[in-house]
Amino acid sequence: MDAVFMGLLNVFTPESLLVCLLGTIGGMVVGALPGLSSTMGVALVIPITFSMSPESSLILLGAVYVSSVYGGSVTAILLRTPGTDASIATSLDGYPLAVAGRGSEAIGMATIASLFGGLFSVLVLVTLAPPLSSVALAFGPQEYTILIIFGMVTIVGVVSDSPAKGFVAAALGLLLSTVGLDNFTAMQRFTLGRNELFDGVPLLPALIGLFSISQAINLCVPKKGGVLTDSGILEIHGRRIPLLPDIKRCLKTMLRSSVIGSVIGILPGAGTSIAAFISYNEARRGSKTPQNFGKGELEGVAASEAANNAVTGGTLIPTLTLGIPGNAVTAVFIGGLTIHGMIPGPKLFTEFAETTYTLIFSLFVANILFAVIGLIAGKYLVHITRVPGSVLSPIVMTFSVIGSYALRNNMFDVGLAIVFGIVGYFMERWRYPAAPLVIALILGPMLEVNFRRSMQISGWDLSTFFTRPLALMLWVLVIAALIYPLWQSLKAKRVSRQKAE
Amino acid sequence: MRRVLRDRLIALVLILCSIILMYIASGFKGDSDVFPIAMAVLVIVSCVPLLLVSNSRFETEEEKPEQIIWSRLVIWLILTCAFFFTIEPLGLFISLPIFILANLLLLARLNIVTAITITAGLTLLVFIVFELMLEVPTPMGLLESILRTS
Repeated sequence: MDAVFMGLLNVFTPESLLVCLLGTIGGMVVGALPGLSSTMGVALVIPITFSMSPESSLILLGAVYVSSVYGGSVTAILLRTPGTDASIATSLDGYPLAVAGRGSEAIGMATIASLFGGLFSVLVLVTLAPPLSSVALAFGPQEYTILIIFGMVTIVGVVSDSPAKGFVAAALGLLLSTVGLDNFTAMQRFTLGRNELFDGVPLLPALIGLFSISQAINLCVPKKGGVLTDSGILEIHGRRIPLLPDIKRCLKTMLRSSVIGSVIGILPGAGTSIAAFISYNEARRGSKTPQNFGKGELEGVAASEAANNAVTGGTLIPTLTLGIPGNAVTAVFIGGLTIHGMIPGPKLFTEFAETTYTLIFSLFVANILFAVIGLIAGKYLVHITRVPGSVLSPIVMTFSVIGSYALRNNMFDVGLAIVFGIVGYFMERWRYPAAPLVIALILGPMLEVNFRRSMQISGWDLSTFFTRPLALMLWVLVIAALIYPLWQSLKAKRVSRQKAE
Repeated sequence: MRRVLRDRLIALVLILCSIILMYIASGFKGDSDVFPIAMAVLVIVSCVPLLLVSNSRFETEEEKPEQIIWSRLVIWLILTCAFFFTIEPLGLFISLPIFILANLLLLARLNIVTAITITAGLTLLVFIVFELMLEVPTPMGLLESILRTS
């Protein structure tokens, strides 16, 4: 209880509030810029956290994460160019509202719904994470092995439109994770004799390369010099805050979308855009006026925005309690935690409880801050999209290079980040998702350690993975995670074949 | 290059690399080889469905990404390589403005005054934030003696 109280106190120091405010503004800007993702935003601020206390670092990372998801809604509404893929569904009704002269009102509703979803998900996080971390303490190496397999299978199945390519990326990540000194025998594996690789492929340069440098290339290589949007910015009219009856009408939708978002957030792999689309469809199904959806319905904006912001707290549940990142952003988060010597898992709620609760409470504050800023000045965010991508690109590169260098003070990491950046650029173009690769890179060593521990305990008897009740329950989850995307894929193919006929 | 051919080529390269890594891993002592070999096998296995899926007539058509402007990519690569190789000898605060300026002139096609203004502003910002406020270590190169002593 002391840790909870101390965490609460930590958030309200002037330094923490300032860090949270800067993170919120930075996140909103990153989110609003098409081409810059939440993952990239969080990856880019990691170098800033090096000299900060763990508490301030996590506050900054958390603030950037939640506000960047919201930031995408402004450009989705006013330009029909979502800043992040989380807001694609928002543009379906947000843009028609803006065309109809109600852009300001749509942004207001998006802000209120984002706040609602964000706060709801933090409540879910604070309620579920501590008991789940206690359950995780009961996990043995066998359960951890299966849990990691479950995480990998889910991510591969969900993040890519082609599970085959997701599988390749994940397998490659697992193979890369074997680089370095063997934890059990200290044998050098694939290190090429370089001591920079003794601890394995460094995570931070890989993250910065795959998510930031690849985007820097993406920003400056297109023909137009990467002008982020050349569509005209609509005149912004209407009230900043929607009418109370409109808010009341959307409350049920916001609540339902928040539940959907939080649940989807907990599941590894399924991200903000999936939650937003599912919630949008549910809102349309449950609406008395479904015909208005797609033509400028405030409820549609509310559904999408409440859901995508509700994902943020949900994704942190498996990350903080089990050390299993649910998506690319939380994989970067793990990178941020490990820099400060905090290993994600149950220990975060025992040994580092104060810092962890500081993060959780700071998410409340960050949600409120982005809502206040969004309601007052959100509509002006749209003007930053006039900055050409090829101007942003060297800025992103600057942060990426400093971030890669600063952790271990060597140029090898910078080179590695650039290589990963180029690989990431082509992976994105050729539709090989980077998230499974990074998550496999994080989970690979955990998988190996737990697998080998299980084998040592059981004397290399594989049945040890099938004899414990908890392990069997986890296997059921693995099988379900395997079957579901296959079934979905077959269904989609059947539909497209029928359409073709 | 056609997508099917490209995916197959990627799969073949990955299979070849995995076989080489399996061979190297087989020389690891004790049970250090088990996991790398298993993961290499997994890569090979993952490439098999990739080959099959590429061949599937039911695969949904992907949205065609914007065409790569190779000249711009090559310029970016040259600038980045030059930046990378000059950071340590020259120092970040010499090579960084050159890199930014070159980017703004060659890729963003800004006029010289705007480019210099942005470059100076950004370099100053990075210096204040990372060097003075956050004290993040950066390669100093030629400026080592001047900046570290002041």
